[in-house]
Amino acid sequence: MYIYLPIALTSVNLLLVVGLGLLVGLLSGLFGVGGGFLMTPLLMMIGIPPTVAAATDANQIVAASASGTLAHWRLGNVDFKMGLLLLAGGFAGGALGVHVIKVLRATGGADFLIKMTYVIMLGIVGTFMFFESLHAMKKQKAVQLMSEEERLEAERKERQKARAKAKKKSMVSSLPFQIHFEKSGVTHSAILPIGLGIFVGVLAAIMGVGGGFLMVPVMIYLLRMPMHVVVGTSLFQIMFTCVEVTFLQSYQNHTVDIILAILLLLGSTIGAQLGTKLGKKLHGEQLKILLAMIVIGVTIKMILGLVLEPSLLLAHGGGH
Amino acid sequence: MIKIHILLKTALVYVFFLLFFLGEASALTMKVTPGKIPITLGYHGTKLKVEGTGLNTSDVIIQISSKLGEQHLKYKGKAGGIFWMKLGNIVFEDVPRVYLVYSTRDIHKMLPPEVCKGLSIGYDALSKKAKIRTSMKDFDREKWIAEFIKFMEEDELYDEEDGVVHVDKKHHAFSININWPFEAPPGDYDVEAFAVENGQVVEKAQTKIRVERVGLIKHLTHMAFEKPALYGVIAIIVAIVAGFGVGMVFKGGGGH
Repeated sequence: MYIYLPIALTSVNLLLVVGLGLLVGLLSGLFGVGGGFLMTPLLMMIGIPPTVAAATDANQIVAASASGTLAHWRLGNVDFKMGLLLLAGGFAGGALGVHVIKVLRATGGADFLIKMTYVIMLGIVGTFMFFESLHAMKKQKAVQLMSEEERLEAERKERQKARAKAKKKSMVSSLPFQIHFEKSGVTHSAILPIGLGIFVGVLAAIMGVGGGFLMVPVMIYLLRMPMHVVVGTSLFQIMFTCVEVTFLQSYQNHTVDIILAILLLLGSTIGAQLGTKLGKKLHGEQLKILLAMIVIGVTIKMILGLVLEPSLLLAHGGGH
Repeated sequence: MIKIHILLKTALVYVFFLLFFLGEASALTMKVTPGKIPITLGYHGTKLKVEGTGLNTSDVIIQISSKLGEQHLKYKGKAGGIFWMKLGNIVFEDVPRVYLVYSTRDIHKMLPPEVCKGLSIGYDALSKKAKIRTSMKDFDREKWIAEFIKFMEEDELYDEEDGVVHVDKKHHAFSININWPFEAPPGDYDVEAFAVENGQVVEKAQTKIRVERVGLIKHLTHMAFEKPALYGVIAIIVAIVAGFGVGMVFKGGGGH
């Protein structure tokens, strides 16, 4: 069964599009990422023009992240205080990033910067998460095999390491506007999440994605938030970012295809719920290593796309 | 008296021959069914039948095209000698957005190149008339025109096929069934039939078809372009309601 898309000016298989939505929604619920970095290339592969694919993707992420946020909020996994601070930074960073791209487009070389940012950021994030999770899993196994004395000794060393790390972080902890985030169980200066939000916002705007795959590692490794709170808070922040993007894309570029968005969100909202339930059955490290493998896979595909000669030497404008 | 008799007989024979040949060489006519293609919610292209009568040759070419315009694309190349990526803009001028050519046999064997060019029939004629505007330095025109045709064929918007038009010599008729591509945008399209003999086009017929949005598709397109703020707000509300709605359903569907 086929459905015609009035803005994309193409006809698509209904089941294929709903299936894509389901798959990306599942990832969204599992990892707290919007899935933009996967969905946009997938939509382009089925013949959706790049500009419509990117804009409509933001629209469907609103649904998937709303569904996911609700599910995580019920489980008590959303740190609203942290989410709002990251969001404030994200909005400012997004505006800055859009301006950077505008300047680069005028001078040429924007496409190169976008592609390279994608490959470098995805590569670093994916590889780091993969090895970090692998290391943590190995450690867990080793702890299970230790005697009681060895375990106590290891824990003592671990505490010493943590204290040394805490000393190193003294500069960050001396920043003003210290706030305790009860839900995440951490205390940071408000400047830290706002600053990180700006950083992710700039990169997300350059790359044309919601930034979930960058925000999640930032929350885990830099803000030291527990994994289950990271996913819910990330979805909360992504929902608002994508509301802004959907409106701007509809108003300025007329590139949101509401029919395509409805088909995608039919799948993605259900997928997000299933992902959240599945996520509870998997351990944090297993989740991280899965996400890392997906990110590395996408990076490898992008590198191959950059190195191998394409079959067509012409392309429609927009997209990456 | 005899002279009048002979004159009458001659006139009768003349009228008879005149009627006979006029009948034989009646004007080439063509019909396209359907003449209007509505784009509905379930649209996935359509079957188009082009048929005609009054064909006094054994060869015919059917050509369907949109009006000439510009196609704005990006060209890819190697950046820094390593990475393949979009490097700049390339604009093809005086080319149609949709161009479909069907014939009884290879048009290059039916018509000399100058005739094809004069009547704008076939890829070669299109290639010669097209202009290129680009930021690329020292570009090979032939190569990029060929790439353009390949790109448009990939999008199903261009096609050139021979041996696909059926000719019924006995009834001086021709016909072809075409899979009209859903990728073809709304608009008016020219449909032309050329009767070919001895390297010349001896007769031509033409008509138009219209592709237009109807119903929900028409309303949504109108709203997206004429009331974009409202369209954006509706898109957001639909997404939030759907997201929360499914969340509620899952809660009702049985705990965690």
